[in-house]
Amino acid sequence: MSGTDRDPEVEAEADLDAETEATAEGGDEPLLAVEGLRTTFETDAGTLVAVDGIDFTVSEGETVCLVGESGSGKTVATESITRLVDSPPGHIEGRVRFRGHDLLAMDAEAIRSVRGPGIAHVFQNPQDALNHCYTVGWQIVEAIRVHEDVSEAAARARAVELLDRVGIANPSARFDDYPHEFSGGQKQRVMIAVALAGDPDLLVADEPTTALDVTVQARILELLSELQAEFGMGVLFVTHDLGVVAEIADRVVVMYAGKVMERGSVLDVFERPSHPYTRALLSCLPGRGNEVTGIEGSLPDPTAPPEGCRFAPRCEHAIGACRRGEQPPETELTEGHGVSCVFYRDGRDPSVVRGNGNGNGSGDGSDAETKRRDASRNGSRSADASTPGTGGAEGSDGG
Amino acid sequence: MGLPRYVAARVVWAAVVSLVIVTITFGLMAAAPNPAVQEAATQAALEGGDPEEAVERERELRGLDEPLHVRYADFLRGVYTLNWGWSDLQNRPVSEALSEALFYTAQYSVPWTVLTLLIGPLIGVYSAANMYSWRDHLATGVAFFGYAIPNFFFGIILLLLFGVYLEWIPVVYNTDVAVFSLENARQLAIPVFVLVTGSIGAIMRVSRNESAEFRNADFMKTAKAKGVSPLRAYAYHVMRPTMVPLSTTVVGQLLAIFLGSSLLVEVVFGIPGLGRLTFDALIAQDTNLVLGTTLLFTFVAVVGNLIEDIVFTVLDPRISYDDR
Amino acid sequence: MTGSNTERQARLSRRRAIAALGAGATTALAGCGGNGNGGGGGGGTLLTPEGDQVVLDVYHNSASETQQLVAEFIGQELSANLGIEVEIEPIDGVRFNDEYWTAEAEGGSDTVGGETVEWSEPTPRNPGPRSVTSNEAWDMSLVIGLNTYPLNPQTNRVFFDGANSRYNPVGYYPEFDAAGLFEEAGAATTESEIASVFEEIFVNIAAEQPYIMLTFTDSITGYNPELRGPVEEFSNGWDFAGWFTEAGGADESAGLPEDIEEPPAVEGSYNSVSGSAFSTLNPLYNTESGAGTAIDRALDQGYTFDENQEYFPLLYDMSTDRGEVWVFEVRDGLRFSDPYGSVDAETFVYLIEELHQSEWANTANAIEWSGVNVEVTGDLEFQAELPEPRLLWPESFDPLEYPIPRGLLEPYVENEDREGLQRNEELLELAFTGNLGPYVLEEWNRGSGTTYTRNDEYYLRNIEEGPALFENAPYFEESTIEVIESQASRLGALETGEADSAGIPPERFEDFDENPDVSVYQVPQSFNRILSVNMRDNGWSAGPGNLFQFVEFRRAMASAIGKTELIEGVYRGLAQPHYTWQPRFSDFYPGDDVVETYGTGDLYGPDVAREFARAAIERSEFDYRYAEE
Ligand code: SF4
Repeated sequence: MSGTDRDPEVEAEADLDAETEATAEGGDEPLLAVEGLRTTFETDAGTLVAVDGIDFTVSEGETVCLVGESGSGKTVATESITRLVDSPPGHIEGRVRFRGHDLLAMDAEAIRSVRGPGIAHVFQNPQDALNHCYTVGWQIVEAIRVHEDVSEAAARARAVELLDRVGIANPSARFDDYPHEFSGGQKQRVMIAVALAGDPDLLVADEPTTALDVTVQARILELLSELQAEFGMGVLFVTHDLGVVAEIADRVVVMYAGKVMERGSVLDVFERPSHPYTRALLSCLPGRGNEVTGIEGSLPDPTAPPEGCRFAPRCEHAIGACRRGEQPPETELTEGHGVSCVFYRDGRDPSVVRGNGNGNGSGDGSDAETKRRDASRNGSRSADASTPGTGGAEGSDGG
Repeated sequence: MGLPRYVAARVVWAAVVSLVIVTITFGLMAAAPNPAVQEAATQAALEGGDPEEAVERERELRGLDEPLHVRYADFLRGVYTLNWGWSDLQNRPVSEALSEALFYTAQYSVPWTVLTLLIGPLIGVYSAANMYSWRDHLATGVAFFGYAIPNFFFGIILLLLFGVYLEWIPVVYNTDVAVFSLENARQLAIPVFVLVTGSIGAIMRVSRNESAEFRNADFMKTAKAKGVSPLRAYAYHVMRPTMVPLSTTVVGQLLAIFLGSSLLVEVVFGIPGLGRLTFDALIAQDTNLVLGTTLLFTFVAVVGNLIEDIVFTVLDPRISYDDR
Repeated sequence: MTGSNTERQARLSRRRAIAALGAGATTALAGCGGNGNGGGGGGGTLLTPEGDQVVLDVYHNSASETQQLVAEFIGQELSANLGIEVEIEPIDGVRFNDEYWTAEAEGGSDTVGGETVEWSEPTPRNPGPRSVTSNEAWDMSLVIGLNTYPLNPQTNRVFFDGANSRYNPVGYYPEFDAAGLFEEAGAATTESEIASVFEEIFVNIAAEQPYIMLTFTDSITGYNPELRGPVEEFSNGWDFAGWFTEAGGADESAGLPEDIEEPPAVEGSYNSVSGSAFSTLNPLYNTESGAGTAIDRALDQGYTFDENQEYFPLLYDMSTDRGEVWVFEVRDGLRFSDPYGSVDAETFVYLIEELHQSEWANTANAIEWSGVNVEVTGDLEFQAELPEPRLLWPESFDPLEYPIPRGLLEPYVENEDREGLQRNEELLELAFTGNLGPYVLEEWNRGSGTTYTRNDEYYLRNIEEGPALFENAPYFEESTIEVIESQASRLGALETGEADSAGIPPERFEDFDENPDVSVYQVPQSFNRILSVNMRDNGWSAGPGNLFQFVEFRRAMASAIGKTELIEGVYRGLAQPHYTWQPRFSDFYPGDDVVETYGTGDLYGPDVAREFARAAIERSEFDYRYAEE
């Protein structure tokens, strides 16, 4: 499963709670630390690399956004964390440390105990994410009772409470209703209730608002941030919607073709976008000119990624060095702001890719602030950064 | 409309359907010449009597001279009071012949149906869970072996093996043993096995295909993300939705298999059940008994359909009672 | 066919007036060289007047593999020994009967042996003179087999009573005075007279070959090897009540021992099987042999015949002086169950007069009693006066009756209620049988058969006649007849001992013969396998002038087909040669010394066959001939 050279037995035997406390005392390790995560799928067309060695962390109570076009591997990356990816055909390598435990090395039972109380997921499409044959109450109760030995009645009481908390009116009556009796937004609220049932430390929300009506999106986002504060969860938020990112993120990780292109605080990314890809994404925002065409070209074939920089085939600044070797190593511009582009290395001039001084973070705060406002105002409407050619659902990532 | 009202409406509908069928049957019978009357005429002619007079006497005797609506009412009363006439083949009332045959048929078909409904979906879901692995191929292979091999042939082989060579089971079916006894279980084990192997193939295929769809559904991912074990996930989240489409095909399939295989298995194992009764009635042209078995199967089909509808509605919460 | 059938075959044989044989036996044509002793060296092929090879077709039942093998064998024999080429035509049995074997009854007249014969009562199976033919032309056929009635050969009158007999689809014109002889036999008043008349008839039939007679197929029955009683004889099973089991097994074919020191223990159950369910056990209306067996377990009929074909009285003895008036003496001590009292002469006379001879009851035996005048002449004695003398009346089984209580019948007689009588529970469940049968019917399960318990009061124990073993009969506590439709299951039951007897198909004979758990009995039968040759005008497709019409040519046919070779090659030895219209075991078989045994020994081979054929050609006006060698 994990495919790493660490002995899974040793990890699995460790007592989760004891060690959690130990690390909590240790203090300095983030809630979730992903290192060199690489997820591949065996397909008839060959080995498909969906996530190709990415690193990122999520700290307690922090919101991290994974951003990128559809097909860039964001969903696979999040689902690899708790090993929701079926294997075979999937294959996950690297390290995913959650409160100090390597999730990839755990046995099946141990990872199940993490799913729910440790890390909970909310998925993109609430329509299909709930089982149509069971009442919503049943599905929340299941989430509770799978992990905790509580009575039916107690679980029910808690489920009603959760339904109430996520904003379902008249929760005890709605408990026995089936998913089809709820609207899309309500369903997503139920999904959130399911996720909250285990009182998780980390909530992984994979495009939770994409399938919803525009007016509903905002309320769900609101709810999520309320809950985050209330439950003190870390949130790993996947989206291709820069507007959403601008609104909720503490830190942003920009992904392209299974690789991290740029990372940094939300200010870093919006005010000082440094990577050509990030800049291309931002320029697609309404009012910035490119919203109709998006970014020229399409994502590379995941079974045969190009040499050098993954973005090179579409990058207007690409030079010979971009097409050689591996993805350029990340260059740390400032504390926590990294970028993977040759122009930040080997003495090249980064201003080439930053262009016109635009976004050249030195003092042009008002411009950056505008950009961020624009993003948050319009993003929810049409900031889909995917190109016309690749506009598939996110679910097709690495499928 | 709530479930009880829906069920009531469906029951009323089933009753109407059965009434229509019974009425059509009556119409056909009234239109066709009555063999007993013909026979009386022939006999009278042979014995030098007056055929016309004999026909009149026979018609009077059988109430055929009554007006049609009186005869129809009598016929309906007869049908619904289970007064289905006399079987010349067995020389006893048709209802008695049918109920006894049903008694023996039920003894193997109840366990058969239950096992088919349990094992078929299980193998199907198991196959789907391990799709394209050797387990899938094995399960599919076994199921289709049973499906493909003729029950008659398979039955004889097993009877020879277990009955004649190993002598584990009796060759001669014994009607005297108690229904719930070891002897009965022993003598019914092979017939039930043969029938189950023959019928799970179809059920298994449907449930395999249906559950293959559900095992990749998003809610399975949700379940996994909740920390539900794979076994529980399959048992609750795949099995349960699979039942919905399955329920729409099962009754029809089982009825079809029931008619076909029960006869052959009853012949091989000497079980005096409905299959043989129906077949013998057809061969012997025992009009009343043919009519009786037809009515019985009609009722079984109508009730089967009714159950199917109700089960489907109960199983799939998305179906609103008002829609149907 | 089942074991239980064979037990009482003789009694019921009358009810199968004409039976088409042809069970689907699988038999390889092993060791069948086909050329017999002639080796094909006897001469050239038979040519038509036009000089063409004579080609004839032979039909066989397409469902019967055995018939196909016989047809192939005949093809080889006729080719080698008679120079005739044969085309084999498989056909559906029913279709053959409808289109080839029967015809519209037209009637007419023709000159037969110099006398004019009138077809005044034509039937579909003898629709008229040879000019009246079936829809479809045919030359030779194996499809239909017939009964030879060894107990009462007078019944064969329907086949051979002159050219206008009731059953004569082939258009046979006897060249001996068949009608006169049958008449003589019917009028005969002594047994020796009858015997000599029939000898003459059967010698003539052997000589004339109205059908080319081939074989009698044996019936094969398997028994529990510990069972004492069965014998390898026709009429097997008349002494069924005395059968018992003996640990360690019995000598095969030994039958019941003559003397016994003390009766064997009463124990266990005698179980037989039947291939089909019974429709009715009402003795008045049953016409099926299987159900007859089931009734007989609980209720004896008037008499039976022992293995020597001798009359054996059960309920009544029959005697006559000259065959016209028969006196029935009802056995003393026979009684029905309460409340019906004892069986007496009145019982039978009432039954015959009020039911069989009534217009409304339409019982199975109605025809047998028409024109017979019965009369009570004593408590236990009645007599029957026949319209014409019949010395072999008992052998015809016509006067064979079950006793039925008068008290039970009376209400139905009063109301002329046939349906009520047919459906009477006491009759259907045999609830009145008193001391009249070896067993008492416990249950008739319509689908699965009958179960019986021993009748402790069986009257047969107290009779003078019969084996000493009758004194404590029967020797089983229980008895069953299981209905098992699948043959494989019936044989399985026989093998495991769950059934004490069952019929065995010829192809399984060897398996069972070698099986120590089963004793196999080869019981000769009276049903034959014949090659019918069509003497009617649509019967000889080879050319003009139907040669089958000449006795000599039919002899040629019979001499060309080797009977021993046929029996060994096709029937694996499980059949008997058929020379005349009686099996060899019949009392009326004239004997090998007087019957011409065509197809065997000197009367078999290409030379003798061609010689007969040439004699036929002499008589023919057409110029058939053998090609020069
Ligand atoms: S490395 Fe080259 S291709 Fe890649 S983003 Fe930078 S400039 Fe573009």
